[in-house]
Amino acid sequence: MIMDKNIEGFEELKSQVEMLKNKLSKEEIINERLMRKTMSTRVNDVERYLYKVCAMGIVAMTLVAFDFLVLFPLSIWFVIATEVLLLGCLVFVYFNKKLVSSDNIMSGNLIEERRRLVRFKKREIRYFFISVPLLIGWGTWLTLEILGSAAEKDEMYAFLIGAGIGGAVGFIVGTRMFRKMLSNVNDVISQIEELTEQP
Amino acid sequence: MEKNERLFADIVESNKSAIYSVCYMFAKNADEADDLFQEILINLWKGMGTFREESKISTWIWRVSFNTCISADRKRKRDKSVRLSMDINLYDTHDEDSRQIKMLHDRVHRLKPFDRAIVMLWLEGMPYDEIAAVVGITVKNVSVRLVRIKEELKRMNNND
Repeated sequence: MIMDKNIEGFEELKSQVEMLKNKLSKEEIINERLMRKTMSTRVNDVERYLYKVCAMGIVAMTLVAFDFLVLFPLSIWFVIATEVLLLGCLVFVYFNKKLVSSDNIMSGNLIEERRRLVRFKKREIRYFFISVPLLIGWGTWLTLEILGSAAEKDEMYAFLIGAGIGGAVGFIVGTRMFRKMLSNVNDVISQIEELTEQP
Repeated sequence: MEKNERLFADIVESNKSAIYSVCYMFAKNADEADDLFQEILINLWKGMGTFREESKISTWIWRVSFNTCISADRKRKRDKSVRLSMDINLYDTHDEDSRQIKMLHDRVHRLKPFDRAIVMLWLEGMPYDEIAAVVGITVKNVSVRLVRIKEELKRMNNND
């Protein structure tokens, strides 16, 4: 690698190049379409998160019915309450999803989209803080149901340990997915605010 | 397609100073610089699919930028529908830094287009073999041309 260190006499030019680079590094490329595309991709990630939650909810409803009515029978009220809770989640996701659209980010009014995203975010956070205590309550009820069931002791403890580990892993993974989704929403809201403030 | 667009946006963001400085050196005014900027980004986007990673990304970007500017057709139509710019007018000398940068532009712009490419890369501190890889000549040729370019720049300095 041959480098020319002989810049004697050209120090002025070199420092002028540095000034140019410094000035340019502070500037932003302005292109609304490019920014909309980036935002739309993020909103698309949020939509995919909601579809995953829906899919898991539907699978969970099926599994609950099969597990707690056939495999490891628990009280019918517990099963009904679980199915109602899961259905409630699906209904919430269905209605909240209406506030999020990657197509609208590309071609719609960004100020209106920002308002919808802010509303979406508030509802999701409220839903999270309501669902956590409900989940704890449901978990307690599940434990009591299992302990009060007619199953063998070994079977009971195996179920409880499995449910406990599964529940903990599910909670951690679910919370991480939720936080990533919220982070995407926050980024898009900030980008819209930045874009719409420009002259 | 989305992954490619994200990658392209990241590449452009990381190299925007280099790309725009080339445009600035080859253009006479801000509009022309913006046109060249637009043209370079289009060529980079088109070339993304064929970029083989045999060279560094920076080398590839410099090469596309210089090739675009050297062969640019000043009479091309402007496409206002997807206009890209840096929203900066380096031709406006409103402060000392801008005046210094304009001095740099005036000197480099007086060189032949090909020599502008070589001197810009040399001022960036790039080694000869990389300069040769960007502009497509031998290392020896780079060395010979640089000697001549430096003499020309010194002459300009003395005459100014």
